[in-house]
Amino acid sequence: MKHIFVRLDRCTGCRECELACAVEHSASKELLTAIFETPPPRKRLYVESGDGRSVPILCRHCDDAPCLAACLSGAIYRDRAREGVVVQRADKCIGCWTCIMVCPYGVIGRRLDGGRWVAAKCDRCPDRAIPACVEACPTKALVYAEPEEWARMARRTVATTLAGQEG
Amino acid sequence: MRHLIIGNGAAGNAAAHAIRRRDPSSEITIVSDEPHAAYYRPLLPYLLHDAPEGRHLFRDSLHLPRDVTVQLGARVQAVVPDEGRIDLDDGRVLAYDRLLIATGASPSLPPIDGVPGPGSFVLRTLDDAVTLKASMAAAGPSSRAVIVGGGRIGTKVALGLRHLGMAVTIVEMLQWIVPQQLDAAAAEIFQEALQSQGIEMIFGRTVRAVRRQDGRVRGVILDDGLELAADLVVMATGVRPNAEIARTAGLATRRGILVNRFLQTSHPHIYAAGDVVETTDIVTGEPIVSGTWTNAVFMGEVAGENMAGGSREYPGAWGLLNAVELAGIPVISAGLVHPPLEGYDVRMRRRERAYRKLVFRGGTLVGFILVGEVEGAGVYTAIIRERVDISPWKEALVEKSTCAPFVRTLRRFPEVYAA
Amino acid sequence: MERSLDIASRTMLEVAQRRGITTVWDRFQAQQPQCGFGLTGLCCRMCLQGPCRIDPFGEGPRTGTCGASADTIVARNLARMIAAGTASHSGHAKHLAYTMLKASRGEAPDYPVKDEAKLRAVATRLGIPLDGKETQTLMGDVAAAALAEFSEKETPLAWAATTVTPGRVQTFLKYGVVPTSIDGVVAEVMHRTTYGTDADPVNILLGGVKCALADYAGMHMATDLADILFGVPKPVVARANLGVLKADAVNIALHGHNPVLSDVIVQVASEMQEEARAAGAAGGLNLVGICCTGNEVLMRHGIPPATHSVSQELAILTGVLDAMVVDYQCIMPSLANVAECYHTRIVTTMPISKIPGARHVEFREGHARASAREIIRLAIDAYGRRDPAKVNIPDHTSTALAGFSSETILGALAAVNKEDPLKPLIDNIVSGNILGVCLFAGCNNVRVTQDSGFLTLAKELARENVLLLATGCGAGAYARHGLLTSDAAREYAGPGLAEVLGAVGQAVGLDSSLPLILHMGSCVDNTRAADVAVAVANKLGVDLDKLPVVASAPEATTEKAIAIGTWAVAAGLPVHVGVVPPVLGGPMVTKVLTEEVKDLFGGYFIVEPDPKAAAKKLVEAIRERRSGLGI
Repeated sequence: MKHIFVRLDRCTGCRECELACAVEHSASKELLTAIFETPPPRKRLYVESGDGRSVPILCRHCDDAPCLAACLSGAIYRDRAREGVVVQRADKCIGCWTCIMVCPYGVIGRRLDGGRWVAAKCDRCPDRAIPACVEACPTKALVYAEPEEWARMARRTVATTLAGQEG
Repeated sequence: MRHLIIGNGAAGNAAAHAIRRRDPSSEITIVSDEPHAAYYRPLLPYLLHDAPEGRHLFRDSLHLPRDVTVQLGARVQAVVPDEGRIDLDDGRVLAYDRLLIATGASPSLPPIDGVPGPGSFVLRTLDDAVTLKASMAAAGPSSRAVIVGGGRIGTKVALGLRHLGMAVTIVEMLQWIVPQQLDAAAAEIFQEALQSQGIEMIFGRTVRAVRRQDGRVRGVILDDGLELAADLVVMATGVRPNAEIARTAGLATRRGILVNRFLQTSHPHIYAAGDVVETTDIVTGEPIVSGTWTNAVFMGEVAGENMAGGSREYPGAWGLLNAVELAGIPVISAGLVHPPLEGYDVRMRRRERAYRKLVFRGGTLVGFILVGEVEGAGVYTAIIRERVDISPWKEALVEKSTCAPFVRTLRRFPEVYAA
Repeated sequence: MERSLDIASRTMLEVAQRRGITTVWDRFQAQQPQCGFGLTGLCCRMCLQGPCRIDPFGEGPRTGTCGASADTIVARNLARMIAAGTASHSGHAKHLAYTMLKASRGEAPDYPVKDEAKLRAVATRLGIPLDGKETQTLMGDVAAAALAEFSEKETPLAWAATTVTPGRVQTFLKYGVVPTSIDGVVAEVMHRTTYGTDADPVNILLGGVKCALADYAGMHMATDLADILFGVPKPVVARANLGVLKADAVNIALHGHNPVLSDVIVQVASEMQEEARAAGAAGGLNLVGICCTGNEVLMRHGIPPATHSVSQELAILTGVLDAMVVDYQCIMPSLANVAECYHTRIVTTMPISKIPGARHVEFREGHARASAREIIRLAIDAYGRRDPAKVNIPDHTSTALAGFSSETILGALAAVNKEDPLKPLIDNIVSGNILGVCLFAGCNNVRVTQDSGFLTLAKELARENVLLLATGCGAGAYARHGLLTSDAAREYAGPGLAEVLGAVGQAVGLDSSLPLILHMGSCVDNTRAADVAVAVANKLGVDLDKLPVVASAPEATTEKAIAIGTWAVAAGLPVHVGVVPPVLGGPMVTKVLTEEVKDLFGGYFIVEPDPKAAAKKLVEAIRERRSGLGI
């Protein structure tokens, strides 16, 4: 299953990913109309300040997802048809916030849906081939890849760095 | 391998999944004294005023793995550990190789004259909810309710009954609402909200007696002699583990069933999980009986895995791990929120209807309360559990719950980040 | 999305693709997705405590570090865009004024007065007594008056005060937006929008309006001075589009804005035909135009427009462009990169406008013709280095009838009614033969399929009998698509409009009607259209905000376009913009610009990217004005 990996040195903290996420989860899917929607669309990833650098914090769609185990109403489930991403059915969410309480990355938020407050969680953009945040990143800090691909990239980078240091 | 689970709640269902994951071919049977299919106990208060949340009461088809036999309405009379069997009260006998006691807890009633009795109710099971609802309907909207106990259940029931137009008074023994999960400052926020909804609250008092006339409740009498008019009384004074069958089976018990770090009871083939267990507080190390759904699920997972041959260690339960929304205000709290005066660093922020309190011991977080701005609470939960040293970021963490400074040290999937 | 509706552009884009040459369209794609904070106007870089952004979804910061709100930030950014536009147009005007001043002192002999009547008319309008002065002296007086507009003084800008209706003067006084100094108001905008100065969004916007009115004054000055030095445009016919480039001639494209440069090159080129033929170009010198300076020399000399705006790079891809001579504004730096693959010489001429990779030949007004000759020779020299394998002239041109200065239009109307030329125009508006008037202005924008906005709107409005005027690259679009023809009038004009165009065409001696759209010149020549509107307003005794006159920039790109749009709104016109400007992040500013400004100035912005929807809104606006007038 593909995951979104982060090259921290490339994150400039521009927050385009947050904007793109909100726009993707709006009714109109266009920035200039999405900003006028009520309720306002809600981002599901967070660019935060960590120790002097900007760090995008995203949902990992964990194998042993605590939010999935914690959900009281069965709103959060694993979508086997989409490689096992952990997603949410808003109509089943009762707004108990147990998922918020247990997500170690703090990437579950609250949003208005049809007048009720429900959980807002990354759904890996079911209507797109590549998640909106990844596409929006102007420096390609966010990388959408299989873990093996990513490991290969990381190894190549380390090797290149080491090679550069030799001699 | 024949696995037998007593109890069809959070722990029992989670255990069934864990067993099936580890042992695809073994037999799994669940026995429950309730006649209903598995449901989400925390949602019961929503049934009282037909809140939309109540629609999702019953769990969906995925709550159990495949090939699990469920016996509903079957009460266990005795467990016979030496013979590896349980006796049901309808005369049937079920044998097992591994047994999980996940019988949960029942309402604990303080000594009150006239309770139990007609017009006084508890809210633990679906049947309790149905009964209470019927009585509320019979009593009519202009009736008056007294809720004994201002904890989560009591407060939710109070809001539900108020929603239907009843006059509601909460009598709480301690000094503020939801005292286990909130501190005074946080509780104040909720109390304002409850007051603005017309709910009366009396603190620092207990109920001595329920007065009836012609078989109907007329009032409750407090410990100071004050009588409150009442047409119905709801007891929400906590729960007691249903550990009787363990006790009579000779297993080690105290307040609840005692277990080792693998959730085994004093008999190696018998495990226990959920509200029936006495375990240790993951933060303080003190013995506790945990009463939360989330704890029960995790315990069930660990117990089930170990029943099926695993050796997973249970790190302890959360004495406090609570997420709830009352009167439209969300609150999440966990860990140690009422610390002793010495040795703890307590930091608070109050902003209008938002309140944050973090409790540190040295460089680690041990407890928190978030009212209003609850997003990111799970970061606090994680750093409490994993005992991450967050000394450099204490102030930052009080302002905002973010894992950004230490995201690469969190256990799950650290390779997501490349420097 | 299609890149262009222009067949010649499309042909050249295929060439670009085959040759692996990146164009503005490729670079625009590479920029996607563009920054949402920039698009909404919510990025502020006015100080070193930033850069700040405001979250348009309301979750992140609601103000910048200094406390500036979304509306403050949006207003400041917009005001600076207006200032940049104003500085550009008036820089162009200032250049003409200096040239004229030097010429009056004998220091620029290559710039004699071409149209004495215009000189006298402008002087009179400014209140400069004629007193039997020598032309040279009067020229100096007018130039001095022009330059005075840029300095600190306490009187309103003469070029604005003497050209608008009295009603507008009152309105502008009422709202404190009368500019007294062109450079002064640009500096004022820079001052008020800097860190910790004006934070009131409406106050900032009014400051922007004041600056935009200075833009109007500068533009009018540019038009007037160019007419004096180079002649008032008269009707002229030319071919338009890339097919005007010739395989057997030395092709020189004139790009940029100021006829101070381009007109002299045209004049000198006519004397150097032999030199070009001697270099092997049987067709001699072939001058073509790009963008506004192209419009200037089209209007005055019939020089054919090759292309405009977003497709400017494509002229080089024909392989036969020997030199592109540029001054300032709208000249893409990429031209030098594209030219690297060809023999084309990009020649910059202005000290403030250089491009890495281009050849710089500083144009000196004191020796204008000599400079022009030097530049033309560079082109002739380059001719020998053409690569025949790269020659690819798309065989597409259209006929274009241009040259509609306000003098031409009034002259044409005078042919119908000598004593009262405006009467036939007004009568036909009243009768509904002409529903109203729409001025098309502005650029192409790479976001919009080239010319799609202009073409759709023109056809929709023409069908509704709206009289169409055009300037700048908008007029260029119409030129390239054959809408500046009487054939187009026949095909697209509603019956009322067709009748009027036919009648006037007959009256002036054309054997068919006037073209569907009247090309009034370059972007600074938008003031020609304003003059006609002012004349009609004064004749009717109403103010501009009552007239059924609208404006549209369907594919706007530059800061200049924003400045023009703003003064058109201040002038009382409903102004359509087809590209969303970076203001939506400031809801109050957006509301003021599209609704509340109507209560102040009568004009307002209509932001509508869909040209068909825009046409409906413009027709509605025209009808609203008509019912206001009771017609």
